[in-house]
Amino acid sequence: MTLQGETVPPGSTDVTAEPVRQRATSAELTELVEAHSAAVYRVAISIVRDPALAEDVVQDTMIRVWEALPTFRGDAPIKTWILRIAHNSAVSLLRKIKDEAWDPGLMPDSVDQANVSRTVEARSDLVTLGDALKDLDELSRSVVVLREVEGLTYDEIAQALDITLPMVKTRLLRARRSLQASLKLGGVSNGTR
Amino acid sequence: MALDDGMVHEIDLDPFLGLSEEQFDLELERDDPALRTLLQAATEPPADLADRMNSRTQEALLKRKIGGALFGLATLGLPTAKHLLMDAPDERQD
Repeated sequence: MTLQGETVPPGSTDVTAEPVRQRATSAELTELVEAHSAAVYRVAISIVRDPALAEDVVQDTMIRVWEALPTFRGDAPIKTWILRIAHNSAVSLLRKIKDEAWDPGLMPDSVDQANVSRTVEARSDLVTLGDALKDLDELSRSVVVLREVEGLTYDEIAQALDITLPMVKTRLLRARRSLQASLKLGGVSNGTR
Repeated sequence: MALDDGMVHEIDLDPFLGLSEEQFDLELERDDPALRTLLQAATEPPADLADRMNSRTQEALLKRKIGGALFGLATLGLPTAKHLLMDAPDERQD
């Protein structure tokens, strides 16, 4: 990725100096979207639980990232920075719509498009998981998705969500227990443990 | 159940969830492929997500840029710019 955390010197009056964001090309934006939209979507869908809203979060996140890119200091990997923006955007949207009732049918429909049949035995398993995710707080949903799906380290999750390392571990284990218990109750066979 | 209210909760006061630190670490490191597979499936993005998001984001940024430019012209009192601004497409219709 060629995008760097460059900044324009404050108060610069050099009219010939091209702003950083103008130097960045649409190709670089495309690169950014292609590299990170899937991870952003996974975080978003786990929080907002609606495919259309999750896509709104992806767009909002990409715009925020693009506009804030010149101020990105590079203290953390760009992925964790983007995922933090995604989490905040999703939580913000969810609160905005007052966490309206979720239709569990939405998630399986979206997943069907992705050939879920290759990875799960029954659609009802996903509904059970969707219900179980709904029972978790928003932070725990992001923690478990970032760890189990995105494969982030505990440190990266802590950076992305701006929480402590012990909190990551506690939330992760508690979320896993909760999901596993719900899946057991729903009759979904547990994997190798 | 939303716990993200800035308050200290039981979950944060009992970081090892009633286990010893060693037991906690052991349980944390246990793999659960079935759960992971379900989570992956439940959060799977549509296959054409990147393409659509790229188009949507480029378009939204362009609209912002145009809107910003028109607003700037409108504040200068240019009637044409005011007219264009009023006729500018509304992002909410997307």
